[in-house]
Amino acid sequence: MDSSWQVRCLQDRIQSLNSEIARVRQKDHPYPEPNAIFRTLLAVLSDRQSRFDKAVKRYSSAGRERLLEETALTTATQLDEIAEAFGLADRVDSARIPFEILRAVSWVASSILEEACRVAVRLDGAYNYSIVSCRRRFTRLRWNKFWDEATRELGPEGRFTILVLGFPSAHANSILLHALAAHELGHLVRGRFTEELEEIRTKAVEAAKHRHSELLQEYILDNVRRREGVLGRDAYDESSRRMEARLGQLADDWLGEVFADLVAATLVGPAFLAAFDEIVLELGKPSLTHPPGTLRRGLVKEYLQQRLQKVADDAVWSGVLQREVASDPLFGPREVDGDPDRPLYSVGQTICREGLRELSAVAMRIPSPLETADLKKIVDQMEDHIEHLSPPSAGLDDSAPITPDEFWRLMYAGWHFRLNDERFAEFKTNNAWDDGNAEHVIGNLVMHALESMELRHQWQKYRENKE
Amino acid sequence: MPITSARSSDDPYAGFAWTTSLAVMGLESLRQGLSVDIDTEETAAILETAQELELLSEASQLPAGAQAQATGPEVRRSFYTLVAIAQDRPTPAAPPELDRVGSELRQIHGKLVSQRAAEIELSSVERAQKLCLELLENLNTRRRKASL
Repeated sequence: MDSSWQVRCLQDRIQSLNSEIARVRQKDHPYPEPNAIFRTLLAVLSDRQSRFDKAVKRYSSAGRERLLEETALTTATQLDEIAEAFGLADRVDSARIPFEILRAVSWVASSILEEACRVAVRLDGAYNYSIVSCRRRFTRLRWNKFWDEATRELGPEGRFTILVLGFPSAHANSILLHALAAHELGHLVRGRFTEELEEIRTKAVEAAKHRHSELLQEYILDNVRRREGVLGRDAYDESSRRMEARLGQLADDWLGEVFADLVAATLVGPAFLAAFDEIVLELGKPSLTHPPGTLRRGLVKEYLQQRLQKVADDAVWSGVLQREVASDPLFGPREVDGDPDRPLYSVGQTICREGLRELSAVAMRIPSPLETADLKKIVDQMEDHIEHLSPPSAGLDDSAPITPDEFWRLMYAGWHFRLNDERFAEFKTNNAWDDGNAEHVIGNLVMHALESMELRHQWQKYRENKE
Repeated sequence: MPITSARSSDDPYAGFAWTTSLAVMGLESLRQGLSVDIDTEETAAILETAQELELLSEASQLPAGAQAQATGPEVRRSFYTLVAIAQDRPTPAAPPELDRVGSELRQIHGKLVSQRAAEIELSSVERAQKLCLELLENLNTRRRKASL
């Protein structure tokens, strides 16, 4: 490729990305968080531009073309990553976003992650729910210097992040969907238990490999790539290494998902599974990054029976905890979908089952807002308020300290009311609403309650500081 | 990670590739006798690349058939990197070479931070740059394939 043409293309791309980020940054944003993200991206872009210009000069002599070529490709990768990160923040000011939820989510996230957090919300074009920690993502990309500079005014250096909460555009108004935040925060909380989780992973993978040794052997043989100039033994070794890497990554991801599920179950019980059902359409289909929904549901059920027996036995949740799919594709015939990694899913299932007991022990170290003797009374009271169209926070004791536990109990109560067939049917009949309207009203009441509790918490903190 | 498997995460090798490219640039400045042009980030990248090479060496020596259960996320990540970059091109070097260049990069870094750049041997700069460039080519080839 003509290098001068390649250089010009890359410089044009940098200019164009810079203009687009600067244009969106100039819009009037209601909150400062997106600006911090844009400032970081513009600073990274400016740095990459000056370094690329330096490379063009430095590699201009004869015989240095390879160096320039590879630097150009690496810079292009950086531009792709900047564009991806920009995609996290360029739709954060949609009028359809329920901004009222931001402060409440920041409050609970800071509490569970033990890190100062602010939240920005974006509508995701994909049908998905995610939370991305900008600090962690930008650190992985080696952009931490620019991040620290851009956020100096917003929070303490080093332990401050902006969480970008993404949820499906179609569900912009569904407040109850935010029970899924418990699962996403579960991913971020993993860093607090790295050593224990590593040990669990090692043992679980060892046990699963031992149990499925024949299957794995077949997988290796099936994937040997015979090529000219490569000896049979070397091709086998190559295939074996590829299997080890794929299985290792699958174990990292699947155990990460299961642990996040257990954290979510700790915080909101089966409510996150109810929210999960709104999003995930293919309950039974595993992938290299996610275990099948049926397996996750079963593991959560076992955990809840062990830790929160009364919650697990509550008839309201039985549908959520026992939902099955027509057939479990884990054990279906291989040729059906042509997925060559199918054997690894069976091993992954064993890894998750092997790890469950010890993962549960780690999750149990996180206090559960549902582990309170009067949970039933609290939930009943909240449901009474919902039934009478009053925010469910109205009945909380004003003199008691307001903690993030109330956030999760509200989410729990909101879903509990929604899934209580008898009560929900009566609610609809009394107000002449259909399912959609009634759910929307429950969401609104929960949102007002969350806002009210966060304000009460701020007020209590202010008074404590004053005293 | 998002609740379903749609892509919204970053390329796991993008940061490593960028650091390696900065290290290559710093080494080029040394090769051309322009050590004054090396900034703090290029100096830091030389050290970080040394650490990554040592991790790659450690990962390539994990016992065969037991790599998936290796303890230590960093070594495991390096093992995944080795497998990913060896898909379409031969791995840049064997463990002794990775260790040797890693150690040379550490020495280069040490001399740069203690303002003794004149003592750095050109042969070790060229050797290190050659290996880093090959590594970068492997990382970029993987990226090009992935984006097709």
